[in-house]
Amino acid sequence: MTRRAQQWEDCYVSAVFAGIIGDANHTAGYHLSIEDNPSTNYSVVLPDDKAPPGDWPRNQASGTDMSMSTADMKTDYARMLVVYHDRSDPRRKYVRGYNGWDGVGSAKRLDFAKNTIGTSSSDHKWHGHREDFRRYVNDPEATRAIVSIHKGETKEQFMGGSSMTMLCTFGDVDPAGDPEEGRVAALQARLWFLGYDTGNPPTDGNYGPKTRDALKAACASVGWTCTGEAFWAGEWAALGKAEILHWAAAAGHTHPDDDGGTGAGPHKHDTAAVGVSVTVPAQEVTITIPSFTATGTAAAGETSGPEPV
Amino acid sequence: MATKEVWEGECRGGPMDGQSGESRYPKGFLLVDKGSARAWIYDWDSSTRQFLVRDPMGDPLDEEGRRKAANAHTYDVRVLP
Repeated sequence: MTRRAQQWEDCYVSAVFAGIIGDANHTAGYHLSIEDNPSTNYSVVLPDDKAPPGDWPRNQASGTDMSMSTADMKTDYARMLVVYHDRSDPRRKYVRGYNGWDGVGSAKRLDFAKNTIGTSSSDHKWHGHREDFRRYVNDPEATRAIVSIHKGETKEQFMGGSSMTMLCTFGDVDPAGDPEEGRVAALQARLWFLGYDTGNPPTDGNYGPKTRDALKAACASVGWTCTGEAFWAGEWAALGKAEILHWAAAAGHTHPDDDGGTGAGPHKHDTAAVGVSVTVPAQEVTITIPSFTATGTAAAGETSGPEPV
Repeated sequence: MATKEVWEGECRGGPMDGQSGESRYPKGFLLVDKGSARAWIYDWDSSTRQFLVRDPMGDPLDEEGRRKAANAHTYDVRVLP
């Protein structure tokens, strides 16, 4: 099961993954890869579904089925419907179609590409079927956007809560161990949660090339260039500054001053080295990641870290 | 996306006793309840056109097993309605 499917499943108490790979009932369409589909099938003809050589994978499906209770199905359908109707919602571009049920009459199909609502087969009264545009099948931002829909986040919540926020709300995660290794492990956990490759195992506490590349990619996803060099310094101030910088840049905060402070308490940091000055107000973030859960409120300059469970 | 064939019939025994069941696959379905961490196998009986529970008490939920079942194309994976 893909990470995207796992995160959809985690959105609902009842939800259980019900398949991706094609079978006798799915002989064409998004449950099959590009190369396994007839060339004229609806799932391989749109620009975001084709795969010219060198582009997104031809050998992966991008349709997911999720069995849910009637109550959760109605909720999930309603969340999809909101996004379907809002042409300005940036999350909309990742979804090709969705089959589900609102509890009334036939199961429905929301076709995001054609902008139509039709009916679907009765089995979609108890399992949601979502089709993602194939070009985004491995895209971490697509995962964040799609999962945001299933979570029921508003468009504003999705747009205001940058993925980078999650990177800047942790501190010493393992008081009994090496603080720096703990902080790196926490960073890795968040990058992994967001869909980036931080190596195997994903949270080994070592800031290697994969972790650095993942962090740079995450920064780039919000339009900011990250050298990653702050982490090599191995200093808490540098780490904290880099974290805050990433978050603030994504949120659009700027501040001309820098008090050079570190540790607890509000601070203003000047990241002249990379040309961005930031002020970080308090931000409450709760995430659940493998092996531990993090909940905390991060004031500027102060970070709260995950607690092992 | 519409499925081509669905097996429909009454469920006998277990949590779905007396309820209408449906499966996209010919052998029946795996009923999963994450809350209680249990699962029940409902086998399709073509002679009576019913889904018969294999063990009314169910089994401890096997996470890996249920994910494999989701892509195995023999039993569907469902939850309580």
